[in-house]
Amino acid sequence: MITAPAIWLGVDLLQPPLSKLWKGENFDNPTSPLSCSSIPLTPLVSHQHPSELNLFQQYRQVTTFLKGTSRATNDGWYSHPLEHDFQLHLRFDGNHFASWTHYLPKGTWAPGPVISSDFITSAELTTTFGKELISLAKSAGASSVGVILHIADEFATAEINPDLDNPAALPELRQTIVSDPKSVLHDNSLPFDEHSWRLVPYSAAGSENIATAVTLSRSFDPFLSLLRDLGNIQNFPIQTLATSAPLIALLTLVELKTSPSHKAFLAVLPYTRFTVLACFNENGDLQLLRTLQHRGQRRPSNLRHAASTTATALEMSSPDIYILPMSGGEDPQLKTDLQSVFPDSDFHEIQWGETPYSIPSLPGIAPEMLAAVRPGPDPELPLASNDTFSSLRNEGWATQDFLPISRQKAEAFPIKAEMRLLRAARYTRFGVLGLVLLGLGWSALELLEMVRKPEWTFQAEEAQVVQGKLKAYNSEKARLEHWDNLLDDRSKAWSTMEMVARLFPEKSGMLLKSMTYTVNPQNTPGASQVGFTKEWKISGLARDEALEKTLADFSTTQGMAAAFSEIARVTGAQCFRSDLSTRNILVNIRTMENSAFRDTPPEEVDDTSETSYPYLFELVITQHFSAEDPLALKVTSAPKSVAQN
Amino acid sequence: MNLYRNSIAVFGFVLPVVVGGIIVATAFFAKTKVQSSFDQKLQSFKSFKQNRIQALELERQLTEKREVSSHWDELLNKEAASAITSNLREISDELPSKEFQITGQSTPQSRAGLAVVSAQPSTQVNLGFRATFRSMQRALLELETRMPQLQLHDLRITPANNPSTLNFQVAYSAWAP
Repeated sequence: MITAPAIWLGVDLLQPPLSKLWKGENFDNPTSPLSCSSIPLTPLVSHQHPSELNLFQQYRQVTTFLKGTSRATNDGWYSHPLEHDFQLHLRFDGNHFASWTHYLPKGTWAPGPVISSDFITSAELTTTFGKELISLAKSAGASSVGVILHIADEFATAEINPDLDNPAALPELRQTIVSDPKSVLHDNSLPFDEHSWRLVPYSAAGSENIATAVTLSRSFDPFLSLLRDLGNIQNFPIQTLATSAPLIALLTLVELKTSPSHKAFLAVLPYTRFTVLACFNENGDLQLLRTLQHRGQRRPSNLRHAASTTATALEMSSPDIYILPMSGGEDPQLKTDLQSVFPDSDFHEIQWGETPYSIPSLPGIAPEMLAAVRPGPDPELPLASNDTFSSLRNEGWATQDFLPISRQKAEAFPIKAEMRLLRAARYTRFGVLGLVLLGLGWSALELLEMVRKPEWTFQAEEAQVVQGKLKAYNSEKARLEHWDNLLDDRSKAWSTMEMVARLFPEKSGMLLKSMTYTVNPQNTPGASQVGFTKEWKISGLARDEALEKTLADFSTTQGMAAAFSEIARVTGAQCFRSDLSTRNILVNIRTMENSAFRDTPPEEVDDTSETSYPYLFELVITQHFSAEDPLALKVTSAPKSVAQN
Repeated sequence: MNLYRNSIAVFGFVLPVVVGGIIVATAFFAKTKVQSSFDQKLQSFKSFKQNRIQALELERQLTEKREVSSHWDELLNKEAASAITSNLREISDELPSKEFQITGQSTPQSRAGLAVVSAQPSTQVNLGFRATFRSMQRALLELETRMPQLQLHDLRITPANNPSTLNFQVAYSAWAP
């Protein structure tokens, strides 16, 4: 059994991390200029963490991102670095940097900007490098750049807490180790804050542990942080990915192990400063990762011992040995050393030039760079469907970012969904504005239509003037109608006398003695209009022929009504009309013998002598006018005229 | 992550929609108010037009009657008893004195005839004549033509001593303004 702390202690603590060599400060604060005062860096959008702002300030800040940056339109801000069309792959093996650009759509590679370890410790050089990178990306027509740093100068593992050996909890542990490594690792004395920790799962059935922890120092954190900040400042997305080169190198085994043999195998990855031993069981599943530090030597001094004890511990007898030279050249001594402890094993020393992980015309490209961008392997290969290699590639275990942007810093920027939401809000605002303008326009048009009508300019005073006039006219009309009524010819002396003269003409055989005419109104309290009664009392004398003819005619209502109608026709006096239903006529006639009558010969008769008439008569004519009659009397006083306003 | 979502939701969606809604609602309210005021104005204008037409028609009618009306007013404004006296004098001048004589004239205070039930002010005038039937009728026709406000409420005709004449007792109510 190999204890993880022993492996770990032999590694990075002996080497000062590059971060301690860093000359700058405040890398985590994008609003503060770098300590290197000669670098004029002013962010396009200054920002604070949303938790420090109120809701409105948050909205104001996020809108500045919408207006002042390309975050709403450039997906490069949110893409994984390996998905960017334009990528810069850097590999640092502890001695020198390899810098290559990769254009993803065409799969082409080209030398990248020159970089050395001095750049890592100088903000000024890093800034210059970043600017050069942006210019290069822009000249290539790219709208963003993904920077993939393959860290090949350090690699260490540590054992996780055995209590957490639950395969189902692996996804949760993967998250936890990033934020709280102390709770996941077995050894509580490790420098948790100074290093970055990630898990690598052991897929082999029956493994003692479900995973191992891989750690890298944060030496490149300021460098990558500055590159990201430069991207923010220049509004050009720079997404970074700091990977462990050995983990990506393991991916190459799928295409390197082409023999279908079902033997356990040991992959040996000698780097400049360390050598990684990766043990796989007969199914090709990872059982153990182990690193051996070179400590200034070309190879680790304990390689033979470590390899043999590891194989023994894992019960691997004569495993196939795959040697993947990762430090630039072959080391014959390495193979010799291993052969001494694995005499019966088959050795496969990889010649990168014979594999898909090299480009003959560009010999400087590291296999990890090609492995990182290479699509999935041929499914016919023996390890293509293997759990370890499938999960390393598909679940991203091999390409875990060891130096991501800090959570605090990342949260200050809106995510893609928020920018989409913000754009949608903008369209909504335009939509609402449009609707509001439409509504206002519609209202304005309706108002305009109203204003253009003549009624709009109509003044109430005009109505009052006309109203006043109308009132005055109506009043005057009522007064005139009242006087019309009062002055109607309902009872006139001349027409009454004309009636008498027509009823009793000369030579009619009648002699009148007296006539009395009276008019009496109906007394109807509260009525505005009343009827009235006219009465004629006529007394006189008559001869036989008059008695039989004229007075006989007058004695009936019809006969008197006919006589009245005739009088009305002749005189035009409407009061004598008898054809209205609102009037009626009553006649009462009384005749008696004239005691003074003396019968005389006709030639001696004097028409003016009462003795020449054999009869006396008394005629009473009563004419009623109802209150509905046109000549009915208005009993109110005449209305007063109203003056016009 | 998603720390800006709430602020975007509030200020990007809710606030514009609410503000837009308030503006539209205010505009709609204002428009409704103006519309309501305008509708009232329309109603007033319609009524104004009708009134104007009615007033013009009335004015036309009244203009036609105004001459008669002013004549009436002139007649009515004269004191009835003295007007009757002066009119009878003028009438009697045109009739033969043998055929027409005024025998009496009085103005009793009590109301009689149609004037009893009317609230319209009136004057009572009793007249006495001795005249022939036709002269009397002519005189009364002339008098009643000159003074249309006279309403006869009592007339008595009786023989006179002179067989060619008759006694007339006439009682009028004269409407006063």
